Amino acid sequence: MSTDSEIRALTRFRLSPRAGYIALAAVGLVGVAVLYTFDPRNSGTYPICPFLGLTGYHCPGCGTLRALHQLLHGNVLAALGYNPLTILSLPFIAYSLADGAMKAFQVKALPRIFIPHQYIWGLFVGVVAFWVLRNVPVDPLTVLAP
Amino acid sequence: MYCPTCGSNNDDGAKFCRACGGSLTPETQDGPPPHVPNHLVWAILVTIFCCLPFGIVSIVYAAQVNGFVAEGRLDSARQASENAKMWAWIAFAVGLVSLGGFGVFSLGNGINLL
Repeated sequence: MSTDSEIRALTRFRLSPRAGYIALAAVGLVGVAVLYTFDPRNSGTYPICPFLGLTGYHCPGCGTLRALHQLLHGNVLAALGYNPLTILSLPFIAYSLADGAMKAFQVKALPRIFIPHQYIWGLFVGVVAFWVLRNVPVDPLTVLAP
Repeated sequence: MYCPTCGSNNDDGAKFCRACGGSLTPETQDGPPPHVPNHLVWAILVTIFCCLPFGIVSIVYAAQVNGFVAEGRLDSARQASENAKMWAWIAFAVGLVSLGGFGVFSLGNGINLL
């Protein structure tokens, strides 16, 4: 177990948060343009998932790019089919990133939502269960595979 | 003005810490409990995009942060917060390296499975 000082030393490297959010926005815009244009199902534009490549099993993130491509084209159900975890997380991700960016630029804070820890433990259990179950090749569970 | 949560130096009069997003307004006895960032959004992002189990470690620490805050154990919460952040960075770095490595390795085979 790391001591407090070791953890501090490891996390001392920090990007300026403003630069970080600007970089993230740039990456996000390019990502949206590329994902909208190229369908991950049939173009050689995107890298292979390392976990899938090494083990042959899907990870909780597999299907994310295909899901986002479908979502950008308005196909919500198809997007959920490729990766429900990603799609259902998007509102939380959008809210948190907007709040973080607004704080970094000293605009204002959005109302803080304190998530009870039980819900985060629920997310942990859900992610692990999703990871396992989407790799089970038995009929009702195969819908979870991307 | 130094952030009470992470110790970063901020402009005087700033309302939120530039580094961790924590509140810089003084804590009062009756006010809401102080904010300890749990970095959950980064934990989820690296879990989805980095393909390796380290993001899940970060989710566990995020859960601990909010559990400790609810119990009023702020020192433990801050420790868990640092761990959540550290594991999100580890997941990001490992994901970047392995994605890059596999990208080069699988270049031109036309398979996209992320």
